[in-house]
Amino acid sequence: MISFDYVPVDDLRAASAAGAHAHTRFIAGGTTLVDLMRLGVERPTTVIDLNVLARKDASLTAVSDLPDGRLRLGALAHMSDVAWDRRVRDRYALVSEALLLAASGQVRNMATIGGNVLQRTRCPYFRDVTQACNKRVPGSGCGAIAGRNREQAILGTSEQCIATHPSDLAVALAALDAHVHVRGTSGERVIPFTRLHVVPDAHPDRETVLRPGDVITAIDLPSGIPARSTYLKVRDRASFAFALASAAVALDVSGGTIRAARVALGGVGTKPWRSPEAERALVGKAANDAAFHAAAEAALAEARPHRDNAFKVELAKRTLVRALTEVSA
Amino acid sequence: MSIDTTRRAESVGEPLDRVDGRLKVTGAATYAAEYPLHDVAHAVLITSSIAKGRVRRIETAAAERVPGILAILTPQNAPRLPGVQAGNTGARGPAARGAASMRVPTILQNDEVHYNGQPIGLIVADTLDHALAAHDVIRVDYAAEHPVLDMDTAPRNPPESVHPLGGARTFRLGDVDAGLGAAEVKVDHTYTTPLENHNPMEVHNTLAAWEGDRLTLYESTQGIFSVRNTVARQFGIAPENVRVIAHFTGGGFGSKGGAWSHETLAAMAAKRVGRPVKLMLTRRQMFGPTGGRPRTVQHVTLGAKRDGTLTAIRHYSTSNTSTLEDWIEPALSQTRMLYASPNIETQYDVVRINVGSPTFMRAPGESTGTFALESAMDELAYALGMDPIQLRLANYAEVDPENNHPWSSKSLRECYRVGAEKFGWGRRNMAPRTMRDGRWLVGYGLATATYPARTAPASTTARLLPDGRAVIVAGTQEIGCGTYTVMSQIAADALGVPPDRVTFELGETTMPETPASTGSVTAASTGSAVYQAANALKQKVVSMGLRPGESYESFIKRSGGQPIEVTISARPGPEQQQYSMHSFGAVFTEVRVDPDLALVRIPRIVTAHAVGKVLNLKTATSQIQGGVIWGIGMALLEETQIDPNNGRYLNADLAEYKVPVNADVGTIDVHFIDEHDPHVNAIGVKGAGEIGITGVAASIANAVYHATGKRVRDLPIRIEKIL
Amino acid sequence: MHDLRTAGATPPFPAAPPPPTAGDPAPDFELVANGTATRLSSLRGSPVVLVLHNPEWDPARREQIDAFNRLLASLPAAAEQRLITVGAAHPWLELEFDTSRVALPVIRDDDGSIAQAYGVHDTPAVFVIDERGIVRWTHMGRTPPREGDIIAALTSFAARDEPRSSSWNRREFIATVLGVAASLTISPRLAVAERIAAASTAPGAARAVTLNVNGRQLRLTLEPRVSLLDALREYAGLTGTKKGCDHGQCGACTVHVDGRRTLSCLTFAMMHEGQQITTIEGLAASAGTSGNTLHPMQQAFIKHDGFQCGYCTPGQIMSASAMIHEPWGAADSDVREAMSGNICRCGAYPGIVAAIQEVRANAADGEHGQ
Ligand SMILES: Cc1cc2nc3c(=O)[nH]c(=O)nc-3n(C[C@H](O)[C@H](O)[C@H](O)COP(=O)(O)OP(=O)(O)OC[C@H]3O[C@@H](n4cnc5c(N)ncnc54)[C@H](O)[C@@H]3O)c2cc1C
Ligand code: SF4
Ligand code: FES
Ligand code: FES
Repeated sequence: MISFDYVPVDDLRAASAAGAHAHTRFIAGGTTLVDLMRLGVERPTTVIDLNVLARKDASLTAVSDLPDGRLRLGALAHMSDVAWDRRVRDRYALVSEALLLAASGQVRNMATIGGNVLQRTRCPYFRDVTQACNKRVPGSGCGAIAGRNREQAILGTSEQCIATHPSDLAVALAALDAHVHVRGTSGERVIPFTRLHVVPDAHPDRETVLRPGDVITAIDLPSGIPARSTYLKVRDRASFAFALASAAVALDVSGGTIRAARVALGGVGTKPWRSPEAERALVGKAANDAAFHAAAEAALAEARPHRDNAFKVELAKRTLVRALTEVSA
Repeated sequence: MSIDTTRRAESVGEPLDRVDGRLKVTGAATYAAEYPLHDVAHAVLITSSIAKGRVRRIETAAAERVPGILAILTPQNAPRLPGVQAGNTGARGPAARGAASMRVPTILQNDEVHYNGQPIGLIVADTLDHALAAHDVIRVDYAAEHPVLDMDTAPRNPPESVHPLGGARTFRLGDVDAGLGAAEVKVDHTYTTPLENHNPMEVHNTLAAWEGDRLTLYESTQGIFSVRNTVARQFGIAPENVRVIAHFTGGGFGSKGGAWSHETLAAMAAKRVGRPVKLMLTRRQMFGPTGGRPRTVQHVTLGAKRDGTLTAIRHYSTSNTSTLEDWIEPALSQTRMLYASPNIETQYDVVRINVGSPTFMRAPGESTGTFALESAMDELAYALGMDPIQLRLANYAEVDPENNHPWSSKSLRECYRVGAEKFGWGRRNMAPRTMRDGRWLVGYGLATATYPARTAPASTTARLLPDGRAVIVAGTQEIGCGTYTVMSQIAADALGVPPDRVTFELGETTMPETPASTGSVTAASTGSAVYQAANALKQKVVSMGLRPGESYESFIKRSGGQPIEVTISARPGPEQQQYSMHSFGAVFTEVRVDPDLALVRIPRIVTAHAVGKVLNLKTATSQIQGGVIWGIGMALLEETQIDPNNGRYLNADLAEYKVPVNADVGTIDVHFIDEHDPHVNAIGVKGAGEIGITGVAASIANAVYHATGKRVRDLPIRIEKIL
Repeated sequence: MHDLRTAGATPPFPAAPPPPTAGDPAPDFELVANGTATRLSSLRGSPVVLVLHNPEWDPARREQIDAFNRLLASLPAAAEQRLITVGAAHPWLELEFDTSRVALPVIRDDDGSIAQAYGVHDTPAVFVIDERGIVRWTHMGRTPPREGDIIAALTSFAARDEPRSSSWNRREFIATVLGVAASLTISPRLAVAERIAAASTAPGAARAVTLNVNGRQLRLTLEPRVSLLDALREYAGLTGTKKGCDHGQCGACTVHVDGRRTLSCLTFAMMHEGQQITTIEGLAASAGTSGNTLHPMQQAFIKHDGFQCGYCTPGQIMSASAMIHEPWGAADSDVREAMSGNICRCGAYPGIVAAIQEVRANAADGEHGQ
């Protein structure tokens, strides 16, 4: 690991200003950053510790009700604390489930939800500095397209990169139309969650619309979410593994008819994959197998598998159908 | 011979808590590189990023500027080891066969690269972080060549030699073609098992310290003497001048059976910098430099009469090896001895590709071999419409088919019976896809387990201290099998004292020599030596005048207060040639398969094993459970993946090389058949370390077939194979 | 006088820590001589007798050798040997005996930071530190300790109650005596503050870090890139916490930070100043058990054979002992899920689950009984 300057900050404005410099990274839980620094993938010369700030400013770690019914998650709140929060469990089951199905008890105790949505892909070529990877070194090639790609994405891929976005939470947040509060060098802004991440296209090194110095301060969950929601995750191990395919869904069914639907997929997209196509296929239909299958077909219509991951097309469809079946049961 | 129990209740067999338990649960057990030495320097391995070619140059200038750097060893500047023949390229051929010189590129004796991830250098610094910082700026210039990576398209060769574990390259009994001609039913399929890596939780690590020309290695190993001998040979010094110490080893499973390269490199570096050197591999560096299980492609043909009797068994196995040496997965042993067929033929082939050398991995051979054979037997049972247990009983081998020797003991019938009863095999409906629990498809599977019972020469010292306590010393290893505990129990019984009056010491090459803890030999071999040494000690004390009923303590007190000591060497007896010695067992698995999502869950496995005497019910149960969990990993999860273009190990970590986690494991109900084996060795022990994994993968695959009607012949059984 | 001095900045303390007592880890400090750095923790492997005294008491000077001679003569290995010469080997002073040598460095503690770390203010002090860096015996005051006390202290831990005990035999037993010429009379804090100002210019440089580990203040000199795990294992000598992957994928490095189970490999040590860190070595004490009593989870692991090789075990137990305070359900399957971040390659999972369930059941009984 290269040598770096460690800078604890206790002021948001200072954090943002310091974070705007080149070769600078914030550290929250560190479970992505330290991992990647040890691999030599991340090489910051300055690391700005947000935890001092978090200890000082309780709003950054709190889960709080907003007057209009929304729920605000402090960006530096730990995954475990958000997952176990009563309000989150009752009103946003898919968020709680996505968190509890992610990583391990220890990682969830350390990791923050702001860090979670900014975690980097688990593509093995990205994580190994001896390999070609356009995301890590633009223009160096894509080891995965030429090599093994069982775990890679089938939606939102480009000629340059086919890496999946690994976060479970982000899939749930995409389904919910959450909003991200950001504090940057030029003040605060709010970004719709579905616009936080970008697909790789020609620039797989760019993963989000965040600018240098931007600190995520909070994530808002909207009100009026259908009470029945779930996050279903399919993986190789029974636990402690990233998704091969996952689905975050929320359905509002009354009188047997689907009034509203939220659908997002994980494990298959280069970004947390909201599927308006699937939602369109559901709304107004009877909540039955036929509608669910139609939604799955719509969601995966654009899927482009590679050598080793063709199975993900079928798996993602079945995962979505199962999730929809469960919430409408 | 059995253990003398005239004095007190036996401790052997009791589920005694581990005597080293307290050390392990408090963090006080000390593992290799944790020994607190004075002035330790830290080393980091440099490994290749190409799979084949040569190291032209390692650019170290930037690395040398990192503060605290003490030395950087490269193929260019590393000392030439006197014991490694000059000019030996490490290439194949008779000259390369000496164990010490086979992997010479990995100990920097030449510039060849044989696989991606091969050791090609070493950085030594005052702190680990400085060594890592230097590693970060190392640049290597290679002359790369095109590697051979695809086993299926590379040439198959007869192996130069087969490890004695595997038997002869070709074995023929009777006439298999004639037997197949006479068969009424045949099955003929190819089964494959992937590259795997052991991944003990403690990575390979070593702490090397020289004092003049004497070397001490604190080493994470299953074989202190084997490491000592290899390193001594390489450095051209007497074995007595190398002391290897391993009081606790954090798992090995075969990967720590002997020296690889890190011991030698650490010793070289320690000499160069004049300080002790600590070298701890990274998890990634456990893929390649420390061995793994090779991929196997096994072709099994079975012929049978309608009544199930086998007329022929043919089993060919091809496994990959590295380009450094031939190591054959001995996957055919069980096929020569498990079923009474008049016609049996087995043959090994090998494919040399640019990966790290394979080696012994938990039940080498029997784990992969039983997957193929016991899957094929299940297929035959279905082809015949016969219950799988009935089929096996119809071919029960009353003597060893390979050599007609009687068994030293065999209770396999009991294993099937007890296992079936505890499992509820009778509830099974033979037709696939007929059992359900809600949405889940339920499947029951069975397979036979077997592993040879080996005994090797071993020595032990037994000493009675003036306070009446006994110290038993043997240079063996504690790798998790409970060696400290069971040896204390054996000695306590022989001496007629409670186990807490006995201290067992192990893990140093200055102690009496015993075999490596591989192949399930420790309990049998070292256990026999401990038993004989303790008995000899007791006899000596009796001959010196111990009165009946008198305590050791009072005897020593009245006879001069000096400790009394004996050292014995135990060797296997002539029975080894007269009997076939094997453990047996039966593994029953229940799987649940989600028919849509292709999730496989294993709520329960029931095993019944006959392993001779069970020394400690608690540790033996743990051994079998551990083996079964390895079988679950093998069946469903484990596969080392390499990049098809450059041979890089792709999943060289514990997130992507998936070993079972707690949630993957349901209940594992372990049963032992009471078995008295008068021939196998002095204490009647056949060993439980490896047999636990054998048969498990087949049992699970058979259950998955029963649940789904899908026969998976290519491990691991991943979602995409049954979707 | 040798050119040895302490290096590494030291942050100001709200209050000086009390001196370590028997059983505490010895505060670490760094010694630099001609660019070669070493530290107290690198002396592990042999016991250290640390003598803090005023600068005018310089044991390396001829006229004061007798005092040290007496001290050295009290060591078991050197019982009948006399100090005959003072060499000038770098960076230690090699003291030759008839058959062996003892390294005798004398460090100038000009800013008093070592004395401060050891809670020594104005009286000379002697600390006997075992080969693992744990303080075994202390003496403070103007009257010198009796030699017999030092012998007793050194021999008390030479014979250790472990299976390997007789392999650490007395013959190999050589203690290092370290003299610290401390300015015990000046206010250490003042000097410390100046040093910080000087040191804070070098980015990424090592600096003094104080970690509260198992209830004790551990002073280590660390670069920012040192993980909490390496700080514990390589700098503080607390090797009970294991490294299985160094990437958060196995759980072997689990410790408690402010009571929560945390992976020490995925966090930098510097981020944890001011937090309570508990490792396996301090678990029993953290639960209020005294003496030799184990934490209930440790006992249950032994009873249910929740381990084989033992390498994942400290992490399993740290994880388990925190997991039982998390809001999991009561079923075995809840325990399995909650414990899936702790890999056991030996496959001791059935015993681990049984152990945890027993502890949970006992805890629940205890609550109902109240
Ligand atoms: C073994 C393992 C398994 C895992 N499995 C899963 C899984 O199954 N599912 C899953 O979803 N995740 C999984 N993870 C990923 C884990 O959830 C993330 O590493 C974690 O959530 C990141 O949060 P953090 O606070 O630790 O981030 P950090 O590592 O501290 O930061 C990550 C990145 O985000 C930036 N950052 C952090 N906070 C902010 C902020 N407030 N504003 C701006 N930038 C910020 C940092 O600069 C850094 O670049 C796993 C991780 C590990 C190690
Ligand atoms: S898929 Fe993306 S992350 Fe993976 S190697 Fe290709 S460019 Fe890199
Ligand atoms: S060493 Fe930290 S999780 Fe493996
Ligand atoms: S006890 Fe060996 S890894 Fe768990």
